[in-house]
Formats: sequence, C-alpha cells, structure tokens
Amino acid sequence: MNTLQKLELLGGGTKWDICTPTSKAHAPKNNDSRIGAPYSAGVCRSFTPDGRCVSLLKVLNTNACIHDCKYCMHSTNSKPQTKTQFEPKELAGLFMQLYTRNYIEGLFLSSAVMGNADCAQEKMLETINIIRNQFHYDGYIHLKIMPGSNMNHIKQLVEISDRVSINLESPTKNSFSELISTKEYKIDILRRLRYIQHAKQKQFAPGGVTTQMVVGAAGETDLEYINRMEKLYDDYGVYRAYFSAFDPIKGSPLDQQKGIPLRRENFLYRTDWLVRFYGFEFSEIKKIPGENENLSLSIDPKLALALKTPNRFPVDINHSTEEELLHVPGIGPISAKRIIQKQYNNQKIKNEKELKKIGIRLKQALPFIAINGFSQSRLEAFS
Amino acid sequence: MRNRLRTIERKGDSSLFFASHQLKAFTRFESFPEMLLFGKIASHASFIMNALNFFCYRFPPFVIALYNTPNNRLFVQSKRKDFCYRTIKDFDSSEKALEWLRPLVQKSIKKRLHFGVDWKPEYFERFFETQFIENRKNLRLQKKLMFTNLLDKDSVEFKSLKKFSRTLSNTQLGDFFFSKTPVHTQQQAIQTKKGFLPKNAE
Ligand code: SF4
Repeated sequence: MNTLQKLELLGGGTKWDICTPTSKAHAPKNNDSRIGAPYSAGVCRSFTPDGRCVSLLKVLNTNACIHDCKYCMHSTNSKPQTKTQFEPKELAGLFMQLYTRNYIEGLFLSSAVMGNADCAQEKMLETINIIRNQFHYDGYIHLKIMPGSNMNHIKQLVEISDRVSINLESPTKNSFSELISTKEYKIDILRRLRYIQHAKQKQFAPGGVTTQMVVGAAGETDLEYINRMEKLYDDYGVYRAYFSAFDPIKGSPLDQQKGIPLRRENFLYRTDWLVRFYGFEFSEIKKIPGENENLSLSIDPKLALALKTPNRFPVDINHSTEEELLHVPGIGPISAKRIIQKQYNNQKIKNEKELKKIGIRLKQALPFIAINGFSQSRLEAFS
Repeated sequence: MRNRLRTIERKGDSSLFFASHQLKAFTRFESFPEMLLFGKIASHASFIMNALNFFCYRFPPFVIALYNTPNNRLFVQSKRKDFCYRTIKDFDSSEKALEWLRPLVQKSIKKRLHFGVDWKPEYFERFFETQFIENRKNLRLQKKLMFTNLLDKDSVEFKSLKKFSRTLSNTQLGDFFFSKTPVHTQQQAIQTKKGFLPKNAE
C-alpha cells in the first residue's frame, strides 16, 4: 500500500478525535537550524466543508486494534477493513513535507492498539524522535496516550510533546464496561491520567492534558458527564474535557443505534464554559439538569440555571459584583468587565441603549436585571 | 484587493491583525531542493513584509520567497547566515522570478534537508477530504472563515467552496416580492394541509 492510500485510511480514522492547537506550546529554541515555531494564536490552515478547521495533520499510526470498543470502526467486532500502518520514517517525512508547505500547523498523532499498548507507544515515539531529532522540528505536537501504557513511555511522550491526551470515552465505570470489555476503566485509563499528572511535576507538555468522551453511546446522563468533568478538573489536573456526540459509524458494532443530537454535545460544552470562563461552581452546574438528570435541549444551560434560582435576581446593574453579573443570561465575561469598569469610574448606566453599547444581549438579560432599581420586565412574564 | 485594504484601514488594528493572520494561514509554498520555499500571494507590501518575517522565523533553514501577483514583485528573505539577500525585485512572471532565484540559492546553500518522502499535491487533498464529517456540516461557517481571494483556484479548498456556493441559492431582491413556487403548487399544498390530496396523487 502506498503512502497516499495509507493517509486516506489512517487520516480518516482520526476524524472523530477532537483536538485544537493551543498557544501553550514549547518555546522554540533560538537556533537557526531548527524548523517550526508554534504561532502564538494558533492559526487555522483550512476549513473542511463541515466548517471545522484543519490545522493539524491528524493521523493514526495504525488502524489494527486488539480492543473491542463498540462505537469504533477499528475494533475487533467491526466489519473487517484493510489494516495498515505507517513506517515511522514515512510518517515523519510526510508530515515535514506538509509542514514546510504551510498546509498544517502541527501534528496530532494517535494510534489503534496493535499487539499491546507499549508496542503502539514505541512506534509513536520512534516517529516523533525522527521528527524532532533528525528533521529538527520544534513546532506543535499533540500525542495520544494509549490506555494501559507504562509509566516510562508516558514520561517520554510527555517530555517530547506539547500536549498529550488520553480518551476517557465514558463518564462512569459501568457505562465504560458496557461499551468496551477489553479495557479496565480504573486501571487502564484513570491510573494513566495519574501517571501523566506525576510526569507533570518534572517536565510537562505545556498544552496540558486533555480528554474526550463519547456522549450518549451507552445511555449516560448529562449529570454523569458533569460529575466526571468536576473530578477531571479538580483531581486529575485535566486542562480540558472534550465531548463528541455519539454518531453511528458504518461498520462499527453500534452502527444501527440512533445518533445523539449535536445540541446535546453543544450544551455540555456550554456548561464546561460556565465553569472555566464564567467561574461557576460545579455545585451550581449540577442543579441545571432536570429530573431525568439530562440538560433540556430547548433551553440554554445558563438560562435554565437562572430560572431555577429566581431569588438571585433582579441584579442591579450599577451596584453588583462581577460574579453576580456573570450569572445573568446575556452577560458574558467581557461585558461584565466593562460594567465593572464603569462602576469604578463612577459612571452610572441609565438605560437599555447604554447596555446594548456595552455588548449585552438585551433580550436575554432584561428579565434578570434592574437599572437604577427598576426592573425592566418580570421573571414571571418570561416563564 | 484595494477595496479590502480600505475596509481594513477603516476598521483599524484588529482587522489588520486578522488580515495578516489569514495571510500566514493560507499562503502555500512550493518547496525546492535548494532549501527554497516559494509562495504566490496577493496583498499589500506591508502585509507581505510582515508575513515574510513570520515565515523566516518559522522556517529558519529555508530561503523564503513571496511573489506578489498583482504587481509581479518578488520578496526574498532568509534567516540563514550564508544567504544574506533581502531583496524586492520586479519580474514579468513568477517563472522568470524562479529562474533568477533558484541558481542564486543553489550557489549559496550547500547543505540540504531531505525528508525521505517525495511530495505529491494529492497528499493534502486526500487528507482534507478524509476529515469531512457529513452530519457536522456547517457550510456557512466554512464560507465565513475561508477567503476565496487568498486561495489558489486549483486548490481542493477552493473547489469545495465553489461546490458549496452552488448548493446555496442566492437571494435576490425579487425573491422578497415574488414567490418562486408556482401558484398551482401552492394551492395544492394548502389543500393538502386542509386534508385534500394534491391532484396528481392517486
Ligand atoms: S482502542 Fe478502541 S477506539 Fe481506539 S482504535 Fe482500538 S477499538 Fe478503536
């Protein structure tokens, strides 16, 4: 099989992996013989027709796998497909050719597990060593840690890359074992996350560690994802959790199961944003899901929380803290900062026009705020 | 391009940043064994100088050449110590510019880098196509973020954009006043809503 055919098979195998380039990369060594400096803002090199940006060469080292993940087309239970693998030199050369032509911003290298996890990691290490040492590449590299890898490999991978990730796939042990029988949730995944955390103390991929979960493949609830997110951020030092709504892949054991709406994935991301950028507590976020422990797909999570805590409102726009403002639907971190700035400068906001100028979404915010003690619209009128 | 620059001037710094950001992202290079990266571009001199600095910083062992197609001007720069040309020169065509530049670089640079894999343009095309996920299609987003004026007309990205714009019908002023749906179809639809079947349905 030639390189082009391999690229088609192994590139297509990673399209469901979510990764974004980050500005948090190794500082380039000030050496004129080395290639590649990660651009500070993370440039998108192209956009596929589905609107997602292509900035990294995303490939698998091999698509031959010993595991039986039900949602995956490479699993042992899937329809047989052509198996192949890149030679380390071949992949390294291909990557450099694309990079020097400015088609890509960096590399995202993952793999199926051929033989065992250590074999797969060794192959990846070999490729990266060629790229870093033989081709003098200093730019962005994101590596996938295989479930069950040993501590030594993890240390080396963490040192050589800008970001590492390990796929959690599922928020709980039970749903995980419903989807995969050949991996142990606690030993193969969570313990490896601990290993990565340990490696962090010495030398750590500056882009941090990320993880990805499939949404809804085994009937998991949104509350379970939120609980898991809390543990990942607080206990395991994960930089970011990604979600991918379950989408039945042709040839995989679950290809007859119904897909999960993208809106659910989107709303889980919004709850994540509320924690990371709005400073919400997880205890608050956990109040958002309804009785069935799922987020409503018809109402934005922030608005849902505001409706569940009516005694917080209305918020007086001229006498409130940043935290109070951030809880108002339609007010984001930037507009909250602008309002606080006005308070510092002793400038009173007198009308809706001024609020609009600041960048507040009036339609959403008005039922929850008061300007100079006057509430513009009543909460009851809204519900 | 001139109109575009005017808009940029009007909007100020953030647009300037965005424009140079795009230029860095969508410039594609041809790579020559003499350690020369040659890219065609259509922009303003100050943006090109900015991009040139960026690419020199990114690819220090290479000589970077950007050819500005609207005024047939070649910009050359490198961080190498054995190649100290920092030139802006006018040519009749990009081929002529390459004819002049390649021997010059060849003479100065002796040490080469070999990546061991021969280049084929299909590599990127095939990879680009593999990344598409049908049910995540967000064509408007793609159209918003890709810039036809910066793309090579033969590139896979440009073709996919063109394909997309054919699928989106253009709204014209007349569409607001006159319905494109023939009247009889409308009546049929109303009848169906009320419980009647369209005439041709048996
Ligand atoms: S480990 Fe699971 S998800 Fe990864 S390639 Fe193998 S079967 Fe697919």
